[in-house]
Amino acid sequence: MNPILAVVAAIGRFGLNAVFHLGRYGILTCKAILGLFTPPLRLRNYFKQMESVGVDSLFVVILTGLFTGGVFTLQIIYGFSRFSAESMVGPTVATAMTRELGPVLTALMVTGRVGSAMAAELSSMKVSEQMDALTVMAADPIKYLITPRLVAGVIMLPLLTAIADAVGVIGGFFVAVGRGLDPGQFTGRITDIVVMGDVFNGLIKAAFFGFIISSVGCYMGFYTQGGASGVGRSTTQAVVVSYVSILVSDFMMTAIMF
Amino acid sequence: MGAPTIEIRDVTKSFGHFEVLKGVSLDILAGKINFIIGRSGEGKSVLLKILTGLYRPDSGSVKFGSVNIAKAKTSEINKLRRRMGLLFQEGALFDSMSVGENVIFPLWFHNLATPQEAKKKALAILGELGMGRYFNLAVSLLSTGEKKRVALARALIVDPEVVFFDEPTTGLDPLLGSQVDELIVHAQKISQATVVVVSHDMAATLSLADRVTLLRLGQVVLSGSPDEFRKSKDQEVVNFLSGGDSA
Ligand SMILES: Nc1ncnc2c1ncn2[C@@H]1O[C@H](COP(=O)(O)OP(=O)(O)OP(=O)(O)O)[C@@H](O)[C@H]1O
Ligand SMILES: [Mg+2]
Repeated sequence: MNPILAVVAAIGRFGLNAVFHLGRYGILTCKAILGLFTPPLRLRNYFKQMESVGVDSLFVVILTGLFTGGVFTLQIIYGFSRFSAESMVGPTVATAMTRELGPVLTALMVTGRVGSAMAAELSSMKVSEQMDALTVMAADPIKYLITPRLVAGVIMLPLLTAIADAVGVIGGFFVAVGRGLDPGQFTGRITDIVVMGDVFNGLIKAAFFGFIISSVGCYMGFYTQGGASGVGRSTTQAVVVSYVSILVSDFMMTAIMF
Repeated sequence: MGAPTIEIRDVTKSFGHFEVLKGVSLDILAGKINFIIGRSGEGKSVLLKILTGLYRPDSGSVKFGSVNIAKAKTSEINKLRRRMGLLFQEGALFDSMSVGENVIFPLWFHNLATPQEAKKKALAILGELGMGRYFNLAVSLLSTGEKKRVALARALIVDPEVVFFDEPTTGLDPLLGSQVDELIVHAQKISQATVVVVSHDMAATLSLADRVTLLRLGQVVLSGSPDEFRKSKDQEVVNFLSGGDSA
């Protein structure tokens, strides 16, 4: 084929593919959201998902927050002390954690832990006909499997992020004190400079990321094809697509919010 | 309400270019035991999935009373499904749940019984299948035959009016196999359910069935009583009956 034509064809195929997936994704998530409004709800299911998204991620999220806050402080304390701006270390750490590092790093960690697991679980249910079994028992698999995961993502990610924010600042505090800063110097101006809006916007971002993680993980799992290798493929795709979506949407939300 | 007759007319189904069913017509007798037989890959499981609305046929109709499941809306199909049970060929148990949770699932999901009642009922059915003591065990630890029995219990727990069994005794030892056969007949007697069994076990087919249907190359070769099958001179039927015993 003519090389120019080949390029055009490739771009066309990519475009068609993108539209196809986006459309199917949109329909699936809409159905999952509608699932919230059709009985029976079966709350036990929701709590189970919240536990696996939230409680089970607590440890990694705390660890991530602690070290991120710590290392961030290590980096800036050196530069700031040269301008005698030690009193700004605390507020800077707190701003960075609440606006960016808390939401984004929490989301990335949870994607690796939970998004991939959702994709794996749903796709193996698909290939072993468990989804068909649900359908035959008149239990809509979208409503039964995806709706609770979406809800859990949207509710638990802000909570995890709040914890990561707090732990990050605490981590920063210990590092700063270890490096000879006065405790009061670190905390003194945090509340002057960090406003509720910073925290709040960060948590909104987190809720959105939670939606991405769950919906992408479920989408990849729900439309798996072909046996065990399909399970592996959809898991990888869930992680990659979530990562990219989180980073891109973070940029856009930041541009709009702050 | 009473168990419905199922009228299957000219049902076709292809996957890509591969035509699995090429115009299948047959009546499933209400309140009777209907066996479907045929060689591996002839589309028996596909037919059961069409009957339960999991696949839509490419053409033709499947009527449960006045509802054509080939065309019906999902909400209508779901109403029918509340009266159905399906045993999948591979069991299709929920592997994140225990044996008991699997069996109770349909009762729990549709709020059909209190937890105590549900558990009692599940234990009773599992007990009949020799699986009572596995109630709290994770499904992933079970053997193939044990999974099959749990899946059978899950299909039967809602006292369905129409039950589909995809090879209920394959993978079970002969003793268990005949126990399961008895259970199927027993369940049918009690609830007067319409029963559809896909089977490779010719002895069981000829002794239990009220009506037998042989599929071959995507079409019905013969549909009739076991006696009609024994007397048939059709070469396909003769071959199948003589060679089918061991399959
Ligand atoms: N979802 C599907 N996509 C593509 N092909 C399919 C699908 N489901 C079934 N088939 C094909 O349809 C044919 C019939 O399959 P089916 O499972 O109904 O056979 P069967 O009669 O139940 O065989 P067995 O006795 O071995 O269980 C097979 O060749 C199978 O490959
Ligand atoms: Mg089969």
